Amino acid sequence: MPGTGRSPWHALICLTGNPRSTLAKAAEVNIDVSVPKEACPLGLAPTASTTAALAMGDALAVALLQSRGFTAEDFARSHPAGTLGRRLLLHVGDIMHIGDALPLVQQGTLLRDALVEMSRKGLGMTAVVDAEHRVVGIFTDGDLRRTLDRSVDIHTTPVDLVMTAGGITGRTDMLAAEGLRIMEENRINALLIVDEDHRLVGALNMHDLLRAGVM
Amino acid sequence: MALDATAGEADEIRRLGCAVLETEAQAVSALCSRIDGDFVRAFCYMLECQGRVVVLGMP
Repeated sequence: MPGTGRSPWHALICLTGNPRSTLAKAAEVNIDVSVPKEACPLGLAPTASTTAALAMGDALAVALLQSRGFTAEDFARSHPAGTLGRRLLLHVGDIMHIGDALPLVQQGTLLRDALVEMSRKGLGMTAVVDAEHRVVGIFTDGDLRRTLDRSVDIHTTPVDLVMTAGGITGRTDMLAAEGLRIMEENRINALLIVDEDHRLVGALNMHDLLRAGVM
Repeated sequence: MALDATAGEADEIRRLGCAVLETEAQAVSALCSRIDGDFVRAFCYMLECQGRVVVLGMP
């Protein structure tokens, strides 16, 4: 403690409203955060003074953060278990469905068979790819509803005729939070993940993001 | 008064809320002039700190 000669700390820094207080005098540094009056009409509840202390603390923290070159990744590393850390560290590639769990059919597949694939993989959609495995479109539960409305024969219609061509895609090195943003912005429930040649490598949906704690 | 404040009451409620925010905003604005050598010294202590900074408050 100050005065005992064996201080357990390197320095005591105070934020007080009274530089003559015992606490302020004991400190190596006292930052004056006094306020002319509290917002509380009785002058009792700490209102303006707590706000002032909070703001001064932010001023110190942000000044330090900038001087140290603290990055978003540093932040994530110091809060790895929290939502912030997850939003900053988790990538699409970490949570997407791959291999057998990835719903996909070739171009020209009959709608009937595409539906079987959708049901088997349970992502509410299937990717439609060409012979080189490049994404040409997506067929979703929503597309199915719109198709039923048009009395299409699922036994004779190729999925290409009723799918959403192109579709919105993401990349494996994208942050999961970025994937979520894309899905929300486009109001879609699933995102196909492609490589640099637009070949399908994975897929994820809102449930995956929910399970991963990104949303 | 229940859930339907009269126009006059609503004005008064808004005035009370605004007054608090203005008081607090003034308190924060006034801090700029307090950012002096002490602030810089506090900053330097923490920048040089190799261990942890323990933050606590007391009423």
